[in-house]
Amino acid sequence: MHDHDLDLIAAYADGTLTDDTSHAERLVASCEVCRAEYERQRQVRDLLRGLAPVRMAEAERARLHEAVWSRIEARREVVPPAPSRVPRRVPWWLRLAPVAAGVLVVVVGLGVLLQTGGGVESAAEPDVAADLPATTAAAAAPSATTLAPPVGGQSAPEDQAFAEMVEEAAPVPSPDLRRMSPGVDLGETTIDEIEAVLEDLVKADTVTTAEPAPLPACFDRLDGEPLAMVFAVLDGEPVEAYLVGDAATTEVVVFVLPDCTPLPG
Amino acid sequence: MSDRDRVLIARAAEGDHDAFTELMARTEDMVFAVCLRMLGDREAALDATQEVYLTVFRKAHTFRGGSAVTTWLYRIAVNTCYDQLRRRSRRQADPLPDHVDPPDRGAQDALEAAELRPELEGALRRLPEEFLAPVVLADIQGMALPDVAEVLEIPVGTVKSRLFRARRRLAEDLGNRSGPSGHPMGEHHA
Repeated sequence: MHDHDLDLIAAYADGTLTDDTSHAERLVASCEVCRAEYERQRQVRDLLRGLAPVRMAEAERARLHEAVWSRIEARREVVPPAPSRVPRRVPWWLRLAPVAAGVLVVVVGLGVLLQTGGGVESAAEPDVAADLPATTAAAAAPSATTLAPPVGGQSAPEDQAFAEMVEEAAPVPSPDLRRMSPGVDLGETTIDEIEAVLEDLVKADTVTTAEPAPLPACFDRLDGEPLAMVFAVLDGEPVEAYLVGDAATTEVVVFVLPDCTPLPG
Repeated sequence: MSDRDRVLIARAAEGDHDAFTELMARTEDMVFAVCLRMLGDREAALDATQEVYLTVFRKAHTFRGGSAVTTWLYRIAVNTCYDQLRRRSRRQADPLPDHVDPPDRGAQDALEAAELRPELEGALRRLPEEFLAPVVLADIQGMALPDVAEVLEIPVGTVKSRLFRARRRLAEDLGNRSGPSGHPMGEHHA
């Protein structure tokens, strides 16, 4: 029996064979192997299709609604009343960028260390990196990723606003960052925790978070949530990049525009 | 239904909480069912469903309308579940469940107690990862193959191939070896 016969039998068993079924019928009738495969495919398919539909119990439904809305509301409550020092047209993630710069350096540096250091051997070093000023920590990371003032790629007002914020931004680190300090498995640090740290910094700096602005189209393809914008240097060239936290895997990855290409670590 | 879903997602993207609530009410059983079949236990499925709707809330404004809202939701659900499965597999202390959770005690509806047979649940857990979603979407949820292909963003032929091989593995795992042993068919690629 050939592959095309298998295709035929699979489609026949699926009931998706819309053309002439006579050849499939002949195969099943005359070929023992074909018949066995046909029966096997049908039996498993029927077994699976015969399963009763799943529904949530009412208690589960209530828990789901409560959890979803409490997390949505928690995100809204962090918006401080203080007026922003940056124009409203600047997207929220852009506003976060300079405040979060120190965080990003530590996180990105940690990510790189975890990726390149092989875990155990490098576990002792990152504590040092965490205590360093941000720029030093970035330099210590064996990566093409370094934070730098923005260079091009933006409209003038946003560019200016961003440049001002970068100048104002102090290279953190907040005491809360200890929680994310190297030596702690990044996989154990939830995106909520990372976001909480960022939000605390936002509060402290009176930079407001606002409704998310439309993000670049390529973000549609990413599973994660863009946490902040960073400026990275790739192959000696400044690139516009975004730190993306995957809420499910808790991995933090830097993606480069315009195609959301993962930045090589 | 799809037109209404599109209206709701558009309103949700503008911050309309009522629209988001209605969209969730219309689709949450479907999403939960996929998550339960993908993950194998109700608590994990409930967590995944929660993540799915948080993602929907955050990304409603990115929905482009090129596909049905349900396709988009299924895609988010499948990706969320795959992320959970990968996270599980990375954590040795959190192994895959090899049992079926008991039905929720508060369940009044007989359908709520409809769980997979233990042996079938175990066989599904042992499927290669790439086979799981096609089986769940096509054979359990009853989706048409082109729709499954759209959700998974793979060609229809690949869906067929994975389904075919998944069923064969399930049959073998379940001891349903109706075919002769030493079957001459090797790996089949559509």
